[in-house]
Formats: sequence, structure tokens, C-alpha cells
Amino acid sequence: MLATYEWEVLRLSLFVATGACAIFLPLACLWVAIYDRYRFFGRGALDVLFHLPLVVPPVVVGYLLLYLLGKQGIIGSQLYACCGISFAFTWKAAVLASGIMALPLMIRALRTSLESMDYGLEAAARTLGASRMRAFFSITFAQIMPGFSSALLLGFVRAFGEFGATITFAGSIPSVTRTLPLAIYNYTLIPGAESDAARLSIIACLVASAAVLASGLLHRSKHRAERRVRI
Amino acid sequence: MLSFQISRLVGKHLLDFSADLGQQAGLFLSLYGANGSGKSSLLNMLAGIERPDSGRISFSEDCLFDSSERLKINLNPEARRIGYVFQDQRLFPHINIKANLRYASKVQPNERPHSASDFNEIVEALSLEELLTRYPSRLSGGEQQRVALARALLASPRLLLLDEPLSSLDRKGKRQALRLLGAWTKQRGISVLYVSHDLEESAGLATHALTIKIERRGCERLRSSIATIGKIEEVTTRLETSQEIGASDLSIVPATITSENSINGLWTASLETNLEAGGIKDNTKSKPNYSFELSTSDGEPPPLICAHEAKSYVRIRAEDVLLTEKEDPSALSVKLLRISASEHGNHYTAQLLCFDQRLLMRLNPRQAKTLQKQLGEHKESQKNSQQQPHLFVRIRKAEGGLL
Repeated sequence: MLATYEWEVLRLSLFVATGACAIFLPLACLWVAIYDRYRFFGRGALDVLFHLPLVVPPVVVGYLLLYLLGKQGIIGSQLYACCGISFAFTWKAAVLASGIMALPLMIRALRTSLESMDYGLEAAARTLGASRMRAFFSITFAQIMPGFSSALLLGFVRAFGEFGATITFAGSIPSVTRTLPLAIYNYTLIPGAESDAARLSIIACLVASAAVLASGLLHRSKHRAERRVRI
Repeated sequence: MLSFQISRLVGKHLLDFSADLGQQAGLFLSLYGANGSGKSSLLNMLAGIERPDSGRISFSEDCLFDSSERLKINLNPEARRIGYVFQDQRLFPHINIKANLRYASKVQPNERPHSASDFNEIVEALSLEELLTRYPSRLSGGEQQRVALARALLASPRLLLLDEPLSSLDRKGKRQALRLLGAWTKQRGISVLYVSHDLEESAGLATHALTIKIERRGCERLRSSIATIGKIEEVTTRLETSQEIGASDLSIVPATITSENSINGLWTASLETNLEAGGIKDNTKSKPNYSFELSTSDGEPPPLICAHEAKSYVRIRAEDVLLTEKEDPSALSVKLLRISASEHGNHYTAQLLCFDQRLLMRLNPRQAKTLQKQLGEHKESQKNSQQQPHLFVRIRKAEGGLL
């Protein structure tokens, strides 16, 4: 059904999106928790910084990443000199670029679910004998689960579809950094490859729909259980 | 049981609380204080949710908190075994009522288990059967409060803090909850600290009362401290403190229930009469056991203060204590201690001493004038004596039991 190169592109895209979520969702959680609980100098500025990828053109993010982490970049040259690590134009760059683009969306989804959180509940749990960890996981975390799953979905879909930052920072190297959107773009440049572009576009739509559906199912089964007993 | 000496600065408001409640276990303390006087902060500090700036807290020989350099103790809330019914209930919204009630035994299966019979007893006593499979957001305020109380009791605490726990319940619901609370804590020797605006809410159960006062200290600075601490019969019958707790017309005193059964819903009770402690030579012709009628709001016998004595707390309203003549066969001989005017001066309250028990009596301005004169003359004539003028009064009726 799918050609070998299509499989490869799809596999790479899923790998990059999963990697981006695996690294950046915990970071988003950490930042949301810190932002919510502590007040310190630079808190607002950092938050604006994390939200920038949402509002600036993706190519700017890609350029900045290249500027900072490229082999000649400010941090990148140091990194390459001391540990031999280089990001630009590798799969790591694709993960990093799509993760950074997805970060603000994940932060926003988590924050909405945390806004209605009442920390008094954790105190109540502790007077009932729960340790600090137990109270957090059984009360606070259990309550932000819906927000967590929607952050995961949004982040995954955003990372899966990321184009501008990836092509700037990671390039479009076949089977290394050429993810699905990059492959589609590539086909549109080749005369007579419209049908290949169309096939890949349909695959992209199917993957995104599957992600939305999965998250919806997760959400609904929980809600239905609640509604059933409430009536 | 409980002793604390803690201070904490909240903005410009200094909370400086200290009290020592001796060694006795199973006390039921009623806490009164104006809004914003730091009642909830005090409870939070005792429970370990707020940290005092300095001081120490101990409960039945265990040190819960000590800020001194040498010890530096601050037990976690979960290690204190102090139950807490919050003013805002704080039921867990993502799990149903049954899971809320079982939360403590789930997280601490070894230390805080509850038997199935305990669970059923509480569920039945608070009529929670219908609610078990529901979620907190679908409960009314009163239902949430009943669940919060049940959840705290099922966590088997040693001390239970209650912050206006029954404010949204109707009278019947309050009575039902109080009956369970009283029986449950008495049976298990659990001490209770009960915060309420309404003195009568915990009447019948409270053995001691604490009041918090706020003082202004210079510009915008406030200081809260424990103003009064004492047995309920002492605090409610002291003129100054009775006004502080909003009960200038109510004496809560222990009385012996002398009738086995009620007649038309009325019991007979007699005042605690300890002649020796009163220091009265029995030349007053009054009966040592003065009996009066006692009604309870629900027709049930009033709960006993302790299991082996037929004693209960009764509420005697100041209006129900009437001046009478010496010849009256139902007269009670008392000594007049003091008279004070109400805030607006339209009525007066007299403090009486009946054997060793004080009582409050309402006076109209005319009576007050006569008695004040008598009090003045008496002081003139017997400068060095502690003797007070005698009066004869009648107790029209009293209320007992819960609410």
C-alpha cells in the first residue's frame, strides 16, 4: 500500500514528533509548575520567551537555533569543541526544532487545567495521612490528567506538522531530517510529482485525525463514567 | 492534651497564641473569635499546614512543632494524626464520595484502617447511603459538609479540628451530625477543637471554651491572642467573656438529670450543688438540690458529659432567671456578684453565684437600679467581708441536649 520511501518518511516523522513530546512535555510540566508556585525575578520574561515560538515566524526560530546551536553558533561551537556534539542538520536538530515549536502549546494546555486547581486539596489529603508525593499524585496530578492528555495531543500534532524551523535548522536531508511536511514540500518542487505530494498529504491528515480521535476517546470514557453516576 | 505557644506574622497582623489545656484527654473545645482574628490560621498551624514563625506545639506528650535551635521539630501534617474539617470542605472532585471517605484508609492502610462496621455506622448516622456513588460537585453544601465530617472521622485522628463544619446544614442535619460527633469522639477519646460563630451549635458537647481577641497596635498593626480559656460553665457565666462570645444572655452549666424518663418531653434537672465549695452555711433555707424543668429540642435525653455520671450541660437563658420573693417555695438562694449594663443600656445583666456555680440573670432598668443600690450599700456596710447580698430567684426553664 505504501511505498518504502513513504514508510521511511512516516517513521521518521513519528519518531521526531514522539521524541519532541518525550523531551519537551516534561519540560513544559516543570515550567508550568514552577510558574504557578513560585515568584522570582525574570519569571514573566522567561514565560514570554517560552511563548515566542507561538507568535514569531517558525523560520525565525529555526534561524535563532542555527545561530545559537549551529557548528559556528555561539553555544554550538563551544559544544562541538569540548564534547564533539553537533545539532544542526541531524535528526537531533529536527527533534529540537519541532519540540521548541510545540512547547508553548503544551504550556498553554497544561496551564488552563492548573488554573482551576485548588492546592488546599493537597493539604486536606495530607491531614488524611497522605505523604507529600502521594498527595500530589493522587490529587493534583489525577486532576490535571485531562490537561496533560490534551497537551500531549497538541504537542504531538504540532511537532508532527512542524516545517519552517525544521527546514532551517535541520535541513531537508533524505532519511535523516526529511520529515513528512518537508517531503511534501520537496515533491511540490518537482514537476509531475503532484500525486506523490497528495498521497503524503493524505497520510498526514490520517495521522493527525488518529491522534485527535485517540485523545477524544480517552477524554470521553472518563467523562462518561462520571456522567453516568451523576444523574 | 494540647498545649501550644506559637506566633506568626501575616502581613501586619501578628498572631500570638498560647494555651495549655492540661493533661486531660478527650476534651471538646469550642473556639470563638471575630472574623479575621486568625482562627483558621491557628487551626492550620496546629494541623501542620501553615508553619508558625516560632514557638512550640505539643499534643499528649508528643512534640509536633518546636522552633528552638536545639530541637527544630516540624512534624508533617500526615504524621500528626490531626483530623481537619475545612470550612470549604475540600472534597476531592475527581473521585466519588465512597472513594473520598476511604481515602485515608487507602493511603495509610496500616495506620489508619477503618472497619466495615465503622464505615457503615458513620454512613448510616449521617444518611450518606444515597450519596456514595455520586461526585462532590453534584452535592449540596450541607451534603458536602456531612461527607467532610465523615471523611475526617474515618481517618481515625487523635485530635479533630472543625472549622465551622456545619454552617450549611439545617437544624435537623446539624443535630444529626452533632449527635454522631459527640458520641464518636467521646467513645474513642478523641479531642475536638470546634470553631463556630454560634455558641449554641456546640452547646451540650463543649467542655471548654477559648476566645481570641484582636488588639490594635499603632498604625494598622494588629495582634491576635487567646483572651480567655476555661471551662464552658466559667466562660459563659463571666460577664466580660460572655459578651465576647456573643452569649451575654446564656449560661451553660452542668446539671444533674434527676428524672429517669421525660414527662411530656420535659426532664427534671438539678444544679450542681457543692455546698462546701460555695462556702455557704446552710442558713438560707434553700434546698440544696434546686430542681428545674429541662426540655430538649429533639425529645431525646441530653448527652451525658461522662459515662458514669448522670450529668449534662444545660442552657439557662438570662431571661428565664427571675427575681422572686423569699417565701416562694421554688426559690433558689443566690448571691449577687455584679451587675453590668448592655451596650445600649436598655437592659442589664446580673451575675449570680449559686453555691459554686455562677449564673446570668436579665434585669430591667428598674430592678437594676434597686439592686445596684443594694449592692452599693452592702459594700459600704461590710467593707472587709467577702459576703455578698442574698437574692431569691427562680429558674423558669432550661434547655438541654443538642441545639
